[in-house]
Amino acid sequence: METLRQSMTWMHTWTGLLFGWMLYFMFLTGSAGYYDTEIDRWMQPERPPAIEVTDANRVLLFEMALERAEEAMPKADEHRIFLPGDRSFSPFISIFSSTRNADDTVTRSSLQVLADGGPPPKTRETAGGQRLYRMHWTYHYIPRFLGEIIAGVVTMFMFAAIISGIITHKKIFKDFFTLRLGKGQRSWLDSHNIVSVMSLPFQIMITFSGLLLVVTTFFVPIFMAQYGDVLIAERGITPQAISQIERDITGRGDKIERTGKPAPQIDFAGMTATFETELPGEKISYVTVHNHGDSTSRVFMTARLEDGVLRRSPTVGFEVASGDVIRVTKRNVRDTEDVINVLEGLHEGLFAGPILRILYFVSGLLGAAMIATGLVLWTKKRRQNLRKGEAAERNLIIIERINVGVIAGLAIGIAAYFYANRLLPVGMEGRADMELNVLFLTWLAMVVHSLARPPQKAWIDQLVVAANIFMLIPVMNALTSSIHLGNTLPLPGRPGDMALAGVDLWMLVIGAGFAYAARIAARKEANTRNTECKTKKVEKAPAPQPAE
Amino acid sequence: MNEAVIISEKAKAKPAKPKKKAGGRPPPWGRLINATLLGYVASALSSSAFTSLLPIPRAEATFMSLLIAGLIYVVIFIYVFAVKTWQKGLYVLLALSVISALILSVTRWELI
Repeated sequence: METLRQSMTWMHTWTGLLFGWMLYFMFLTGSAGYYDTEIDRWMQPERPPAIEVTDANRVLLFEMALERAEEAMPKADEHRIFLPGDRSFSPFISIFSSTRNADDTVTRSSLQVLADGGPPPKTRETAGGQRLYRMHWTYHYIPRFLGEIIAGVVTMFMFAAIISGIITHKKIFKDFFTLRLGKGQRSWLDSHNIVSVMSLPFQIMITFSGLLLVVTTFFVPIFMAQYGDVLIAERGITPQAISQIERDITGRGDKIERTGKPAPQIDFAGMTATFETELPGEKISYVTVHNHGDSTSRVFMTARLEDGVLRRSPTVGFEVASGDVIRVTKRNVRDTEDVINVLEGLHEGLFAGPILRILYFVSGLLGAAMIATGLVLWTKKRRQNLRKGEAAERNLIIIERINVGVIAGLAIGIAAYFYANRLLPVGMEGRADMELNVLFLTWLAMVVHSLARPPQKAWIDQLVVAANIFMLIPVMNALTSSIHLGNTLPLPGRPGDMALAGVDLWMLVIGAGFAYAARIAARKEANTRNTECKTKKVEKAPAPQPAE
Repeated sequence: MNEAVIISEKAKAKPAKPKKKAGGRPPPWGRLINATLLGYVASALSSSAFTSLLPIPRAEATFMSLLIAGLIYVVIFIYVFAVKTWQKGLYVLLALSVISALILSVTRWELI
């Protein structure tokens, strides 16, 4: 009779192997997402300086932005005006407007303006940190809906692999302190255990919360099950049925029709004061204005998301005509939706300060390392189980080789993405897409290279390339922009810009990590070669004659 | 009895432990399909059926279902791999889905 541990080992092996490559991609690009806004800035070196939002200029900025929004889309149902946050260092105010049409479709527009109301200067088009991190669940080349479904399935497998991995572990505490180097498969198992156990709480949190982030797409049947009567009454998934379900779930009422009577000027200063009284300590992130200029107009002031773990910002709502407060929501967990919001907030880590952000990033990399060591371990174990002289199966050889291209090759692809940002012509059509194409083409080239070389040699080649290409990014940055370490590192008497310097410094650290890995791989290859030579010598030497 | 015969007797008594097959256990495709596809349907239906029985608003029940569906899904994964045969897992998941659908047809679909 098979024990639970044995069945879980079986499950851990296969769930991990089937989606290992995709999970590695998700962890590596997702980890980069913890520095998305920093990468955005790094990738647009010509960006003007950030807008400094103070108590003195906040109201003026709102008034100016609302004027621009109304010019861009007059009589919109809604204008949403975002002021730059502390981490984004944005030089722009972002404005999003939308109007719901009679046929339930929505017309949207967006624009960015500088603090003086002018259009933003032309900067290079880039996919930046945003698209790099978004691809960890949208996969870039496929429709978003499909991406979210795939991400849901893959995340579910990851979750199952983690739980089965825990059950499999006999000595989870002992394994935390065990690392036997230079012992072949045993070393790979120890490495896999140590990175997994070390970051286990993070891996459980990030996987379950990741599933919750795509859960509304992934578990669409739950909506169908819960609102079955609505779907039956409306004869299927019609726009009316979706609208009815949406209204029930979001608690949002029907669209408020304009009366045509004018409203008084919005008193942003008074509203800001009320906001600060109702929500002490909170800072305004954005303002939503409904039916601007009409007697039905309402304004909602929403606090910054990054000031708390909960992924729902506190809001104060006002009726413009009377100036009355119509809604106050605070930063507290009220219902199940907020439990999901907290978990999603933990996943995104928007609230994290610089130190916690480093921990998030490193934990994400440990997750990628956990998957990478697991993938290598799978092949090592099968190699060890081969009988002496028995040739490896074709599948095993292919998996062994693709592992190199996927694991080391993806890192090289990401580095190539940074080079593409600096080296592609600034005015190039579809530049952002081309940057991403460079990433994937480089990755593909690395996979092809790994298929053409023996695995041990391919590991050395690609790790050496990765080490060099990462360590040269700050050099390339210095040659092509003014936001290099010479200008961004804080020095006595100069504040510097740690966000930008941090990107270059991380590249050096990652490059050094790959250099170390390349050294280990090269040493191992040399040892294997020496052992093979000795074995051949022994085989060639004449067998000793038995004594008479 | 000479030495060679003794050695061959010992070899008979204790056969050499066969080395594991290089490929390990075969891929459990039946279980993987059970866990992935049927597990998906069963977790969505059972979590919805469970929350539909609770005295809470429907929107709240929906969010609660979304929250617990992932947990039920992973429990199903573990069950499907722990059960003796994949066919047994299939029957249990089918039964769970049918019972959940029946509960929902009473609570949410008004008996269709």
